[in-house]
Amino acid sequence: MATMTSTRTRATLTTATASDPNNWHPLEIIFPVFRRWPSTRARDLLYTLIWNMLLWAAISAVVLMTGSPKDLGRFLWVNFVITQSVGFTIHLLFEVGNYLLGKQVAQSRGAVRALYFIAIPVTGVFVGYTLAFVMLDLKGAITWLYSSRGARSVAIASLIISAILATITTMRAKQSAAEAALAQERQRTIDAERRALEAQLRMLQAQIEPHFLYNTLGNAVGLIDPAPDKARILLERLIDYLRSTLSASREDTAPLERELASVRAYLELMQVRMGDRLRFSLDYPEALTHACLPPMLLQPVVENAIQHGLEPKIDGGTIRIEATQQDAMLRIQITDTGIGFQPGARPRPGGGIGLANLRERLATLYGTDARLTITDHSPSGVCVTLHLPLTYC
Amino acid sequence: MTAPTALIADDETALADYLKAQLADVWPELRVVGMAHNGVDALRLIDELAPDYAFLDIRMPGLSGLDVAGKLAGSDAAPQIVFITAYDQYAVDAFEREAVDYLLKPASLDRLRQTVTRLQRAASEMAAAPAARPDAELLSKLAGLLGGGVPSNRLEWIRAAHGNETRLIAVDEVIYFEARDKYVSVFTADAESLIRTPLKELLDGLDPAKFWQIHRGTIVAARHIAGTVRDFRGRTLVKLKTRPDQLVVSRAYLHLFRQM
Repeated sequence: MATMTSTRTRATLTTATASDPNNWHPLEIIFPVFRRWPSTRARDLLYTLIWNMLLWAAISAVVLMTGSPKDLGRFLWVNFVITQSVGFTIHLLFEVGNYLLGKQVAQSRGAVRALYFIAIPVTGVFVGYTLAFVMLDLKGAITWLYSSRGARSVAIASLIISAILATITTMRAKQSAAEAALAQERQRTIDAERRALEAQLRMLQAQIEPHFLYNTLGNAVGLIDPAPDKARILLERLIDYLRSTLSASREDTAPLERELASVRAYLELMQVRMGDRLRFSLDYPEALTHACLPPMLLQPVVENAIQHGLEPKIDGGTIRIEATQQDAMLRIQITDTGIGFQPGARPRPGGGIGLANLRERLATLYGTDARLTITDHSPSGVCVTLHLPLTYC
Repeated sequence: MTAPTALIADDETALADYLKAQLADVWPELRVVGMAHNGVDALRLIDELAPDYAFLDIRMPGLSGLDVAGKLAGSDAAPQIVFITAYDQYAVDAFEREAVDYLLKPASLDRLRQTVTRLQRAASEMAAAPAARPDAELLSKLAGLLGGGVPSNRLEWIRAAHGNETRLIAVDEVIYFEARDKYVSVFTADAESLIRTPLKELLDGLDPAKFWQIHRGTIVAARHIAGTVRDFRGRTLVKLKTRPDQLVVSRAYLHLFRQM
């Protein structure tokens, strides 16, 4: 009898309320398939019902194998009522216990924790049995339950319950540890993928357009005879530009000063080519000299502004680059007075893709901490604003 | 016989000057009567000066070289045209396939000499080489081959209200659109903005391969879909890769996800 009792009391062990993120039901620990549905109060009640039914079936099967009771129907019914009553009582007690003491229990260890997990099932068995016997109108059984023999049975049962509880709790702990290890492994993979993606995106942004290179070299050749000084400036700036662009794929971060120097090299080069059609300004406070930037982040934005904003405009225009500090953020604004985005205009090859690429890079590097906004600039042109978390290097 | 005349159009002054100097070398009789630095000036100067030859850069502000040639096509007074292009294998292939005369920037003297020889031969035969006077059809074909020439009615940018500023959102960045009472909400990875364009009108401008309507009031970018789940009510919900939102798929659009 004692063994039977103890087996039945395994019925319900809901150790946390629905609001607890660490909520779990013993059913989902024994049978992983039940982990598929997120924990809610209704789900847990249903799980307890399933658990009770499974136990009832198991106990009935064991008893029927060892010998046949006189009245089979009566036996099954009594057993059913007891399993359900004890199971739901323990469920209810854990709900109440966790509601009142959930936090303390979660933080507690050793003896206090053991006491909690022993006290609730023991109380649950007594109350559950009492309720079942009342419902079944078995007065003699109640008397037995509160006799010394009955109490001893339950005491033994409770020891076994605690052992089972300990097993399940250990299983749960192992499972969480395994899950944590898996999550860590997954995170490592994600990190590796993220780094690979970032490297790839950076490579894409650091690509030098053949068009640009041939036009620049064409200019240089053209300037050698009529304006050798200009040709020299052009080639020097081209070397600066190539050096920073080609080395960008090797480093993870670069100080603002250096990034803007390479932007300046590009703009000065373009100024030789475009003449007075291109005017530019570059501004940042001294304090931001060593602010950290991912390399080649600004360059494509500036190249975009020139290629799609100023070059197609007959009179050209101005490009203004401004870095400021805003609270804990580095804010960089690149404004051009070019043709802007005209509805129905010819698609700008690479325009949207370049920016999508940039946005992807920001997301890879900073998650949601970085922002990229594009707005119209009045009366014409585009304003690109970047917000990055401010760090120094 | 009067000296042949030419116009050079290139937005980069140095390149135009250089070509002029090279032409002086290989074709001393040729008089460069005009230099233009954008497509609009080129067209005006050709009209005014009626040169025999026009060397037109493809990429110019105002009008492209192909645009200028297109406007001249069919007119008897049109000059013979040589396109100038920076190196781009596609461009070279396109010109060669259509047998249009072209020069690579920066042109070597040898290459320029070949072009000049061809132009002179055509002039001495007193018959304009048809290829040097491309017709409108050929030009639009070229524009297509070179890419970026054909205006498309696909939506590329969306102007959306975000707080009190108007943001430009590339259509590629949009994760999904959701119709609200009077507005449509545009969701990107980090923001929600409002537009007034009705969903139905948006659909016309979106690439149906990239944007799927999954509900009367929802259009989602296919590449942002992580998968679908069923909720306890039996509805199919779309899970997104970069946003936590779950979007309801209405029955009429369930076929989109049958194989997922």
